[in-house]
Amino acid sequence: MSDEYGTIRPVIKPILDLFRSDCVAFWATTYNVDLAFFNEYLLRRLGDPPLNAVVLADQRRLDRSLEAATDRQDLLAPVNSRWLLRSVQLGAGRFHPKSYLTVNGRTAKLIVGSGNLSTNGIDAGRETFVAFQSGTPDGDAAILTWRAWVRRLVGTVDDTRLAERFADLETRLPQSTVPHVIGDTMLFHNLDAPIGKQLFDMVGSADVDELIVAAPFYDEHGEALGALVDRLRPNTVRLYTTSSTSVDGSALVSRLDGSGAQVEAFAYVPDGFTHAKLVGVIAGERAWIMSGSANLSHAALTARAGPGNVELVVVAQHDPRSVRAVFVPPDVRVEARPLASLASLNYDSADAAADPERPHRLLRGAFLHDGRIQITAKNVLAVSVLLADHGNSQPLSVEGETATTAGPLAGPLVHLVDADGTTLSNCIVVDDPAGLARVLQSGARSENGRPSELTMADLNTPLGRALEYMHNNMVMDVAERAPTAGTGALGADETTIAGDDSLWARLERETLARDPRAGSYARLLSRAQGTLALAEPIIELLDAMRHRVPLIDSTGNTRTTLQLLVIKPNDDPDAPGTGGGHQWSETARIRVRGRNVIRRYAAAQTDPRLVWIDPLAPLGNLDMAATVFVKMWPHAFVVGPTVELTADDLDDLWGRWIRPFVGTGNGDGWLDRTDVPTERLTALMAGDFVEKVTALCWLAIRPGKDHRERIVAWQPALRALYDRGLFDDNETVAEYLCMVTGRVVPAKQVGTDLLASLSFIDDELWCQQIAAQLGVGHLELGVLSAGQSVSVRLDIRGIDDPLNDPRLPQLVVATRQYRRTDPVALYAADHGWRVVLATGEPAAYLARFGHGEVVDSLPVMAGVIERIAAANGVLGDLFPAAVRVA
Amino acid sequence: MPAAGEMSSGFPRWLAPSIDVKEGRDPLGLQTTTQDRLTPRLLPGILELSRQARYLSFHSFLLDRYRSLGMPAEGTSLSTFIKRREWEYGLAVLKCPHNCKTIPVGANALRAMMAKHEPPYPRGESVESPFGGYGLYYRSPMAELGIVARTGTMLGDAPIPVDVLYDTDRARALANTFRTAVSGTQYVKTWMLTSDPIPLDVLVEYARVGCLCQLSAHPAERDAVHEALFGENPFDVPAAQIAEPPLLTSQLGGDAVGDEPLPSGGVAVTQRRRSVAHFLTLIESTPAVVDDVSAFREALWSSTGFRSGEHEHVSGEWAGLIGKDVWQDALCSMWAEFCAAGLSATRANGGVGLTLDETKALAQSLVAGPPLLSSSMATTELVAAIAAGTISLPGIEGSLVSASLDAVRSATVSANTATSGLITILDLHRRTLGRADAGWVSTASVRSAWQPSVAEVLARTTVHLAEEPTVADSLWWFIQRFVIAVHERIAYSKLQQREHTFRFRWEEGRFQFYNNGVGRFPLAAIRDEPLSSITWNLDLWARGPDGRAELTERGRAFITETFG
Repeated sequence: MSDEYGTIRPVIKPILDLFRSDCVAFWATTYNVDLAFFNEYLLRRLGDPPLNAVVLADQRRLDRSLEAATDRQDLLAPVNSRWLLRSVQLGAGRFHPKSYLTVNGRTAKLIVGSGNLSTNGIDAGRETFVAFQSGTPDGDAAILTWRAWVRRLVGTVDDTRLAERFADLETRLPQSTVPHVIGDTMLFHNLDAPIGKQLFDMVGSADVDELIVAAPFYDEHGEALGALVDRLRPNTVRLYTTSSTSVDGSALVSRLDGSGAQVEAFAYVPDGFTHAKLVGVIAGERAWIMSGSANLSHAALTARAGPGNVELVVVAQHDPRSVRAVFVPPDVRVEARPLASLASLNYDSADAAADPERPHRLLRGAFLHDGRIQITAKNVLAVSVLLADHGNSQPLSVEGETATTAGPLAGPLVHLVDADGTTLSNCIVVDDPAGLARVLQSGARSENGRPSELTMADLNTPLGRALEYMHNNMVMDVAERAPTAGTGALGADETTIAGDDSLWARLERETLARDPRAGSYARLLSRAQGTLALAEPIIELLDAMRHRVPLIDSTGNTRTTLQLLVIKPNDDPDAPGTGGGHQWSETARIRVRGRNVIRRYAAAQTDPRLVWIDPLAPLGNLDMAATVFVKMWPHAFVVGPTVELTADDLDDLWGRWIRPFVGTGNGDGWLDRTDVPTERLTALMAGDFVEKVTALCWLAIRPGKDHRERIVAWQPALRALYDRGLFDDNETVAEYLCMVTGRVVPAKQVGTDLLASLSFIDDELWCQQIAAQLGVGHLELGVLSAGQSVSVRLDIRGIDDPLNDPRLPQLVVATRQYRRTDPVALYAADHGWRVVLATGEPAAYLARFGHGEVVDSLPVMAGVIERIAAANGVLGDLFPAAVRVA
Repeated sequence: MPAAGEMSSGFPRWLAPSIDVKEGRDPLGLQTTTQDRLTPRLLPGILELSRQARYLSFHSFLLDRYRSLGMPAEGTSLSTFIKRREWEYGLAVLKCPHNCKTIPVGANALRAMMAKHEPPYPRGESVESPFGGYGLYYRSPMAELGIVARTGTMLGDAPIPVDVLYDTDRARALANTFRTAVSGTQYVKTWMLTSDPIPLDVLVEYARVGCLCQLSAHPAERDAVHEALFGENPFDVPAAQIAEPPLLTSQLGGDAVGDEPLPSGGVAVTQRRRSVAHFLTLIESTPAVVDDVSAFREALWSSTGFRSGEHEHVSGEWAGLIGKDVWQDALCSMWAEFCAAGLSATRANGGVGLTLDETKALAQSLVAGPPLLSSSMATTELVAAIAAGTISLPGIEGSLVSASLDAVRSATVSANTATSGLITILDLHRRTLGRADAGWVSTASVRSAWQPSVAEVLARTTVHLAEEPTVADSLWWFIQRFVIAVHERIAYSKLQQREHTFRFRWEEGRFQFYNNGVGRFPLAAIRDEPLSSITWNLDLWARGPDGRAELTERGRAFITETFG
């Protein structure tokens, strides 16, 4: 998406980015939380245990939410049972930071922004977020800052269960295995100093040209913004507002009038509540953008946490153009408004309304084994208070700030009452310690998440784990997922729409596009051009196969898959030759089942529906399969029945995968048919992917048993790969092949061998293979008579109707490719017909040698035969209809 | 410093939604009972859009031809082959010299092309969807009937890479008989695999023998299709007795059924034969069932004159489906008015949602009808009034007692009010009181993942009436249990597919109503059209001189063969 500044502005989709089924930890800080939305939707997206999920929310806001939840306690079931909910209150201010951290496998993601944990906050509203990812200097720095900040918050809450979970989180966060650079943090909180002061320190004494702001809430008279203007002294102040911006507009104008700055007002069109909070500062060629939770109020900007709110922001330095551009949301335009128009804005004090005063504050509670509840309060409890849930109450045995009910109470939402039933405290959701402990524990995820051919025991093998990973994270076989339109999922009134087949096509397409695994392709294939960093799913796949080595080398460069594989992992119990750990002899049982799964997946590559999942899904699936194969190859040379896949298996499987992808030079590969621009494909396939392809292809034609047969069988695919530049005979490939074969394979040799295979000729063998492939009775490269204009003659048996048989065009194209020539003569050894084809010349057809006349077509243009072959067409297309009759 | 246009670390991004707002097709989880549980159970192997029997032999012919030509064993190629042949076949059907007006797969696209082009017609593909009409409508039934081995079926120790016909007599017969019918045409001999524009005379000649309407002109092919649909599948285990139906939920005191495996193998064949034979008996008594779904519904509900115990059983099964649909439309009337009223109340409240008490009051206020009821009236009084014929529904002449059940259902659909829904439910309750025949029980006890079965609802209604509620109480009772509690759960489940289908949602202590389609949702189709079309294709009935449907000798023989 680009804007009037010509700037490409990517958007963020937290639900897709963060809430994924392989998540092992999710921590959120938020002002308010939509409990039903989180319990019924987001939590389910996070998947099965083990999961450390914690939400810290503003105390007063959470009190209101829980009080309102008394009518619908059915929506509270997972709270403090599957995940931990805690309120935070520091001094008089609000707990207002919006940050979300997830940990998946070896990756952590943190997003910091303006949106609360609600539908509007993380999906539908006008909000902004900054995303950080572990493994990058800025990401690691931000996550480090966030950890330190949350550790301090946890300390202030003084809750051992929360502290225990934080300790667990720290063990789940990615641990760097090698020293690497951590950048300066861009993440700022206000536990020690006000946000505004930290921004001033960053800008320093620079002469500020522009101060640009957008926020939904100011303090009543715009004093905080005024203070910002006083300190920065910008030449221009630019305000973005909506009709719901909360400030006394007249007071704001008055406050800014005296600042000496030129004030410009802009309105968002269409008008709509805009919750993002942005402050931009431009000083010459330098510019800063502050985003996050801080509104333009004293509580957010000019006060520390305690007197003020707890806030969290990101401040980054960028170019002025980008900073100006970010203030315009997607699908929104801005209109300049007269300054006087700001007078129409009103300050909304509704949120500042006082909450009912309660004599007691409940902090937390927990079920005991016998169903009684133990609670902790902020102050010493009176002996006369009772603990009540929605239906009953129980007297309490009080010991200072803690108390235990006399008998069981159902909960889970409880509060204190007096003997008359008058409410004396806030509501809390009682903890289920056993449930909370269970979800933290490591355990198998869903047992159904495996290919149907595999057994549970198979999942203990590297190949089984790899297939399980692919099954759960990629759409390897659309048929497993695709709905059948004809099941009748339509209403009675729709059955009359006869012939509207597009309805069902749409249904199928939309259903497939919603597959949650579709997001994996973006993670696998969205890397920017020229970036060689290994994609997350590849890392996760290797991780599933227990190949754990550092992802970056000693110079800080990211390793490719083959580079990772040539390093012996420290903790790979499955490595061949290692004495301990997993015994490969136990894994051989998976061979047949695993092979069938991979064959099925290979066949499913050509299912046209796969691109509805993602246009690049075929490439993504091949990349994953190739990763499995290069990981399996080092084991394939182990002698005896101790391997999951043998060398022959791997040759066969790789052939089944690469041929439909690259084709045979007839325009019949996915690469020939896809609409994805060639430049994008080239960029995506460069580096890691091409290395794997090169290594696997060299292994397919490696010296040894059946060498000639393998070369001839592989020639069409190898030519197609070569023509597309998909070979890279670099040192990494050579090093990997040395490891696999146990002998020296110089990089130069790799290229030489592959090129030699392209020009390899063995007519007899080629004829046998093509005849078998096309189901032709017999094929022979015949001898040409002197003076004939064609250079290749094929004698054929088993085809009686040459103009209506789709095998003939295939045969012509295969012959042209094999012999690298154009004119081809086809002679029937059993039926007497003859066909001669040469580009630019009329095709000649003789129905029976010695009888009748030769029929000529119009001149055959270049590429026509290839196009007919690709479409499974027939040579009859070249001739008049009257000639075609069999 | 990053250049302009680059979004480097630390730069904020605007939020983009990942959840689409959609109306949702089945907001109360009632259509699914019919679509996914009842119709597959009642008529296994025949889908709603698998309406033309001859497509079974046509697609068998294509698969056989594809294989015999040695074309690539991969999906894209087969898909293209099928879609191109379907395009040409569709053109031929639309140019049928018998003026049959049959609608082929891809008819819309074909008609659009024909409007633009004079013959010869350009080549094309039937529908965009992979594998064309075969993939959409016929692949699954043909696999279920044991005709097609789908991609991935194990052949030895390896999965097959592309769909093929099973090497059985019944599969071969389908392919061979269609081939025999069309092998003499210029299309098959000359044009089929070419890409030239196709002349009109070639299409007309092809349609003359190959059109969907011409199955009856080729008895061997018709018999092959008949055998495919109603003969024993060689891959099945021997046909077993159809399992004893479960008892009524209320009798057992347990959950209603619905999660049992659908019929397969010999059980499926027997069930398919019985349902089709039952349909044919309905033609005898009510010829309009072949054209009129309302007549079909009423005939299914009130059928009599059973030829055997099996016939009575299957009749009861279909009656259970009709009862469930009456319950659905009655509840839908409550739903539609409740959603509309909730939205109005929320708007009137400045966009602020309703508390639980306000929501209850809203539901109880939906007594204005039509027909108008008093909120304080005892519901048992209303029941008595229905039985006495002193209260009726708009559009019904006379009392409810004398009206057909489908007329009552249609009346609440037209009235679209909560009170009409309540009266319809109570009338259904009256009509089914004490009904316990095994066929009825076996389908009336089928529930969806979201809603109880109609038998369970009726049993609970009996208990509810014993508590002497008022009409206002009953409205809230139905809306709270079968609308509010269910819709939110369904909509949350749809969120997993990133679709926002909420009409209302509990947020921060209030029901927030959304203007996301507040109207009715339709009944699911109940296979009336495929039953009518396929049985006609197979010469089991024909139209008499006056246009009325009449059973043929084959049709009568089929009934006798099935029911005795």
